[in-house]
Amino acid sequence: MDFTTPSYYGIFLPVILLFAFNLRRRSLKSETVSLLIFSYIFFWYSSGWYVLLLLVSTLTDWVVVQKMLTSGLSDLRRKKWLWVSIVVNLGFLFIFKYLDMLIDWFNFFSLQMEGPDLPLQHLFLPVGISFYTFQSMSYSIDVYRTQEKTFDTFIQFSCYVSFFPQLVAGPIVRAKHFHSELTKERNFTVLNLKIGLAFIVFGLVKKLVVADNLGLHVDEIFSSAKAVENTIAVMYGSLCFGIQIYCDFSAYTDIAIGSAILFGIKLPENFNHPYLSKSPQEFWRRWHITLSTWLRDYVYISFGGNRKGIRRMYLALFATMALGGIWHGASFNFLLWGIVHGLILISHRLISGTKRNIQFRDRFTKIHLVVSWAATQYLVFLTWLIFRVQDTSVLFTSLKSFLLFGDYGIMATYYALPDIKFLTFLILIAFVLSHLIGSKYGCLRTKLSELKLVPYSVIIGFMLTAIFILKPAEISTFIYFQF
Amino acid sequence: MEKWSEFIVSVCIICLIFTSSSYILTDTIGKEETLTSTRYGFVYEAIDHIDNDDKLSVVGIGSSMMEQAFDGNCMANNTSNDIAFYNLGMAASRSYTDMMMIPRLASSTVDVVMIEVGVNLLFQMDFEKDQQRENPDHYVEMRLRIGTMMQEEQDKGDWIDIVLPEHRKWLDLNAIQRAEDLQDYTRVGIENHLRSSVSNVYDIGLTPNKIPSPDSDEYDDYLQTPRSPTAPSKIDSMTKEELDQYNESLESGSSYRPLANGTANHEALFYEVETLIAAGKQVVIVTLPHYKEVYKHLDDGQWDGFNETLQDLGQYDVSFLNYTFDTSWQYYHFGDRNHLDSDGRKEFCKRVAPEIEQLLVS
Repeated sequence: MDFTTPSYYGIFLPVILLFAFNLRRRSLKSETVSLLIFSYIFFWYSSGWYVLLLLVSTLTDWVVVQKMLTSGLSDLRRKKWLWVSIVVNLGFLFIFKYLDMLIDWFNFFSLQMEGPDLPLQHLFLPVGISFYTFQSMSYSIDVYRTQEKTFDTFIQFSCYVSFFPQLVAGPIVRAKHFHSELTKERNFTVLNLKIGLAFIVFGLVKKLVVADNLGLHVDEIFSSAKAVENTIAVMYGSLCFGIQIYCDFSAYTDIAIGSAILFGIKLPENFNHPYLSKSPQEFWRRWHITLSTWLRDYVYISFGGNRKGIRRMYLALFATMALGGIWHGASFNFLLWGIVHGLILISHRLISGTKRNIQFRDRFTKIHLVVSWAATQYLVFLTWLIFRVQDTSVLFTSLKSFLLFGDYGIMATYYALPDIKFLTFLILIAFVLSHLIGSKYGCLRTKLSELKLVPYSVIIGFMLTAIFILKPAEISTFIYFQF
Repeated sequence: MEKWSEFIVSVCIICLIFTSSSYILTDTIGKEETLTSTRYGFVYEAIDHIDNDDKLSVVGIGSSMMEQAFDGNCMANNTSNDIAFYNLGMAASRSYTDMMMIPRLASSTVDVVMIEVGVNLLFQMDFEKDQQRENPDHYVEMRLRIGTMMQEEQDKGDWIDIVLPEHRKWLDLNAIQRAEDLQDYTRVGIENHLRSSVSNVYDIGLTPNKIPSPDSDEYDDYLQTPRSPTAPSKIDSMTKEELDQYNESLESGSSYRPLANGTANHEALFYEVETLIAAGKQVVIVTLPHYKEVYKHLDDGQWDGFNETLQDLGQYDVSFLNYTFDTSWQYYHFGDRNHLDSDGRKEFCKRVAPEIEQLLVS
């Protein structure tokens, strides 16, 4: 079950809403218990017995926190307990995500030295493991740093780690934020329903209409040996993938936020019109915000951040981005994606501080803005190419084409695309316009939910029609499910 | 919107807008696309069109062999009475995929139905084996989906029981299933409208090939003589060396090994015959000729199942136009090993039209 499954909207969500709000009349605790139970049911439907990993991760961090808060415990002992949390959570990640990669490397070197050949394990990657381990672990780190606990009960903490809307692909929520949302006075209001529905329908349009249609073009281009040699095809493919991954991922976030709002819980935003960024730094303030801030707070700062000199800062930046890349999976292209982003961020810091750049910016402000935006987006879409293409030889051919060293036949691009071409192109244009309008006039989902009854209902009705008519026959799973 | 009553009103508006706009779009763009982009979707509209004709009417159903052989305009010109001949043959079609149209045909004013029975149509379908192939054949799925998608309640009939259990998932037997399948054609329809608009503006020849719309003047002509039979003959255009090579390639023999009974195709064929006769239609069983070289390389008894099937059909009140073993068909009548070309079509017309006329007049 996921957010595109009809049973989620037809059975799961109505049932849990009914339970939660009937129980809320008795007490907030009862409602929390029902949210917890249904979250585990949701996870069970997505991952089966891997639900036990979620339980073990939660139990570990709960015990670690209780131990760390024991009065009179030395710093060293507290640190040891923190390491228990880090080892268990990262251990899960390591086993399920990276074990085969390490075996591969081992076998490669072993082959050179005529050593043993270890069999690959081909373990199933439990859905959401990268998200809930980070969330659970961050609570232990927070408690270690502040020595203050946020959650009073195990039920509350478990609900924080497993809350079903954001369990599988974020947004990654901080303990304090979730605790305040969970314990505040919440009502089951029509206004919440209205806002939640707007977010959910918006998310479904992004996923089923935009992402899944553009995804078909992306798949065709990057599976055609001829197309990847063509600059126009590769640029178009990269553009489509950039929009696909944004719409796919932000759709998940929208639906997660919308679902949570139905229960009166506000989750943090994860995106803010990333393709209008005029610098790499700005891009990371607008893209996957909750992971970016998580990496900043728990990795970049742990590496020293900008407190230990400029060289250390660059090193911390580079290491954080490389780790961010490999977080997506045990693949060379994810690591390269992170490394390239790290290099881009460092280069930008080096260039933006130069006298020439400052002079140019001051004299030609508008031109500087346009050039900055274009350069940023060119580099961002270049990195999307690295992210998308896992086959190394295809990646290098594609990169060559992206760097303008490919063929330029426009008809080659046309014939490389699937049958539905013009409609997808129209959808792409509609996305670009909505991205621009959204940034100028504010979040369209919020604007929609502020409308009066009739226009609100009419627009929602037409959006549902657009989903029904324009979704492709095959619906793909959310891209971030694989991470 | 803060009251529950307002929320309920809102839900009602949403449902109203969604259902009405989805219905309008699928019913206009989706249906138009199905009717005009593929011959497989047009049968019900075609039968309704034929129903409005006040002439005596004859309909031919079957595979591409029938589609290629049947020139309705020629046949009408070769009869002295006012008879209209309509060609509803479709590539790869067979009784199993044609049986869905039988209730509509039975309730129409059509007078004669010519059903093609061929060595190529009497085989056992093996779902499991087909699914295991590298490229599974989606033809039956496509036909069952399109066929039932375009249906109305009146088209349900005993044919549903003949559909193999593993194929039943492809049937659209209610409005929701029909709407879901029609959705995909709506999407394609929008694409084709956009493509035509771009093509009109820039004149870049991207307009997709279409069959005439039921409202167009060309429709009647298209139903009688489809466009595809005007394709040039493959055999006529061959050089002597190519023809020799082609004839040599036939030495491996015919791949058709028709069965005598027990297949879903047989069951569908007998259902067609029984239903049409019960509805008072005259049924003519037509068997079409093959290119002469084919017969030279048949194994002993290879097509006996076909003959036995014809014998079984003899128990019904049907007429036969049996050309499969007729040796008077010439080399130049064929476009390829199985299909007649324009010369063959003329010959077929010359032979069939008087027979049908006589049947109708008597």
